[in-house]
Amino acid sequence: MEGVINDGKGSGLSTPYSGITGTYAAPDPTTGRFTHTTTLNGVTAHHVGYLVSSSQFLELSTDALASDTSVLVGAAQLQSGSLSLTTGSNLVYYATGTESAELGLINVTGSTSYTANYYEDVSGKPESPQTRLVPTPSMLMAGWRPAAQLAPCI
Amino acid sequence: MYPPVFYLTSPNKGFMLGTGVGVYVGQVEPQAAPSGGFSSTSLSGTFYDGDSEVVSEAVSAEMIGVEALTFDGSGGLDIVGDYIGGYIGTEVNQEVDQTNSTSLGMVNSNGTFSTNSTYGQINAIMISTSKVVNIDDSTQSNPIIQVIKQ
Repeated sequence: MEGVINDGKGSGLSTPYSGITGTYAAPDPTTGRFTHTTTLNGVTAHHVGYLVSSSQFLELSTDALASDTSVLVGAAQLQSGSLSLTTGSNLVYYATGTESAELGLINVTGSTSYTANYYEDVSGKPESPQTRLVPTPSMLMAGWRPAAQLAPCI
Repeated sequence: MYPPVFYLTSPNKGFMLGTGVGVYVGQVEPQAAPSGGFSSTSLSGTFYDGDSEVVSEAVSAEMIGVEALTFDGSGGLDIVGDYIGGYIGTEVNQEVDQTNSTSLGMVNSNGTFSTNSTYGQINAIMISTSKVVNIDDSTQSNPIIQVIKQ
């Protein structure tokens, strides 16, 4: 399994990790509730999940909040079909940050490139609309590998 | 946002994570535009939405809520909703069974538009004729993504 998480080491930057392992208990056949545990880099986290269907569940962390333990809520989705972007397609993305939110339109321009026009609100103030080109010229000069940006996960 | 990382769950759809200090997390999905592009008349029928409070922000100053929205297919909509948030003294502020009638205003053919004429910026996008995403509470310190579905 591969994962990308915020490392919480002060930089605030996300870092890719691999090697997450875990166990899970059999879901309750009536409620769909189950517990599961994951371990990464020697840190073990506990979660509770609720099956929505055979391909989706919602989950919540159950460890007490601490300086090195987060309280998280999320969803897991079974992967299916081709894990790729279709050249020429238009996508919408939307995301929430610590004190901000952003949404945008992506036009997939090639197998390893896209253009995004996005709109961001930071603490109640709109930023000017911006355009993102991927890969950027600096990425190309640095020998950027697109697989690292579009990696599928389990 | 720093360039995001995408984790696809199916073709053109998946989760995403910002790579900067803003700690963005969200979703990406394909846009399905009607023939001729989007307009203010693209939405018709009853929709719903509900805010999900970001846990680290606790009960923030702005209101969050659940809403039912009825679009008339001509750019107008009626909203009924319940909201909670902030404090009045020691009591959490609640607004129950509120109603409002408004209109979509100008919607660009690519689906982008503003839900707040005084905001001065686009804060919403039509994903299809049955799904819209917007930045709720976009004038407050903790803006929230709101997904409106039919």
